[in-house]
Amino acid sequence: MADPIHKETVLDSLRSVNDPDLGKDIVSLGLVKEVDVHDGVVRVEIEIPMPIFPSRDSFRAAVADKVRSAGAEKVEVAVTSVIRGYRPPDRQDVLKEIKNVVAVASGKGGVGKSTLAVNLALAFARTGASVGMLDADVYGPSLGIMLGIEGRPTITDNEKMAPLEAQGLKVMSISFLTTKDTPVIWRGPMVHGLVSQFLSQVEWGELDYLVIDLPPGTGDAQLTLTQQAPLAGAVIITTPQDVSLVDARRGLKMFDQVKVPVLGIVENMSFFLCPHCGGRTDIFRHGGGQKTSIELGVPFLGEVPIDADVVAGGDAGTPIVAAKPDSPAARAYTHVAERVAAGLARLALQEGGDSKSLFMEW
Amino acid sequence: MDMVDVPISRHRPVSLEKAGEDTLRIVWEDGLVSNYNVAALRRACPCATCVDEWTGERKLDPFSVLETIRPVRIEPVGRYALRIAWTDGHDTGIYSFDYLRALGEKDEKAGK
Repeated sequence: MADPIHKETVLDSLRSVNDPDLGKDIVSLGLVKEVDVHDGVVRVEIEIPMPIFPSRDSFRAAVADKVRSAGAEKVEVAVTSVIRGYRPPDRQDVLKEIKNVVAVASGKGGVGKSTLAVNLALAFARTGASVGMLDADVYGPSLGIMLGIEGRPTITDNEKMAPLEAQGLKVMSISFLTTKDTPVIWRGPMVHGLVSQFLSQVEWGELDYLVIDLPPGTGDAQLTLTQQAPLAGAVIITTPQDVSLVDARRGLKMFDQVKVPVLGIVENMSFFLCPHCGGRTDIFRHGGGQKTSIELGVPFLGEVPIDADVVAGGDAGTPIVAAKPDSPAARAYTHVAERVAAGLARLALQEGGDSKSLFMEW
Repeated sequence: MDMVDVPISRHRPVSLEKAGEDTLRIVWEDGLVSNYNVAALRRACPCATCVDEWTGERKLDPFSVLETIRPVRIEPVGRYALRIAWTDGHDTGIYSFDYLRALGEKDEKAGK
C-alpha cells in the first residue's frame, strides 16, 4: 500500500480549484473547512457562503478529482453552506433579521419582472434557504396571483403584520390589504408612507433572502426603497428590444446614483423554445441585454426564454421553478438565481468586515 | 463559468483617522492615504446651502469658516459617501467617496 497522503498535499492540490461562483481558489477564499486523512480516506469539507445550487454536484466531483490526482485513493467531499449577508453600513438597524435584501427592477412594465422575482425567490427556497418576498409594486401588485394566495395578514403579538406563507415563501403584498378589483391609486407621499410601513411593520422573522418586486420605472416607491431598505443589490430585467434597453439603462442610472450595486442584467424573452421540436427562435433579436451589460459595465446574469408554461404557471399560481424545475425555463431562472446569490456572497466577502470603521467621533 | 463582478464605488475608504488636531486621514482600499485639513474640508462642503445647485457657484464665504472648526461626527451614507457634522452646527454636507478622493488627489498634486 502507498504511503498515506499528507494533509498539506491535499490542501496544496485544492489551491488550484477555483470556486465556480466566487471566482477565486477555494483555499484563499477560506472555504476549505476541514481536511481529514484517516485510514487512507481523505475527507474534505468545503463550506460556501451561499446556497448549494445544483451546479455544486459537478464542483464536488471536480474537488474529488483534484484530491485523487494528488494521490489519494478514497476521497469524500462534503459541501456545506452558511449563507452570508450583506447590508450597507448605514442601514444596520432596518430589517435586522434579514441577511440579504435584493430588489428586482425594470425600466418599464411588461418585461417579466414579477415573474423573475417569484422564480428567483423560489429558486433560492429550493436550495433550503429561508426566503421572503415583498411585493412593492404598489400600482400593479401581482404576487398574490402568481403564488396563488389571497388573504389578509394577521397581526402579531408585537403589533406587526405577519406575512402570508405560500410555496415555502413568506409573502407580503399590497394586494393583501386592498380588495381585488379596486385599482390602486396612490399619490407620491402615500407610496412613500406605504413602502416605509412595509419595511418597518412586517414581522419577517429570520430570512436569508428578501426579494423585493419593485414597480416598473424610476418613481417614488423605488426611491423610498433604495433610500430606506438595506438593499444589498438590484437585479434589472429587460427584453431584447432597444426601447426596453433604453429604460433598463435608466433604471441602472438610478441605482448608480444612490450607489446600490447592480448585481446584473437579465434578458427575458430572449428566445422561444418550441415545445414540439425543441428548436430555438430568437423572436426579438436576442443579445441586447448582454450588449447593454457590457456597455454599462455590469454583469450579465443570463437569458430566460419565452415559454408558454412560464406564463400559464404565473397565472395559475404555480411558477415554473416550483412546477417544472427541470424545464429549460426553470433551469434558466435557477441559473440566474445562482449568479445573484454569488454576487451577494462576493459583496459579503469583500465588504463584510469594514462597515463599522467609517463611523467616527472627532 | 465566468465571474460575477459586482461594481462598487470606484474608490472606497477602508478607515478614517484623526491624524492631527486639524487633520483627517482617509486610507483608501487601493492603499492611497489622503490627509485633509478639516477647515479646508468644511470650506469644500458640497451641500446645497454651500454650493448653488444650478450654477455650481460656491455660496459659502470661505472666510466665514474659522481655522478652529472641527468635525463633531462622521458617518457613512449608503455605500457612497460620508456625512460630516461640524462644530459650527452644519451637518448637511454629504461628501461622496469620489469627491473626497478627487479632493485628496488634488492636494497631493499641489504638493501638500
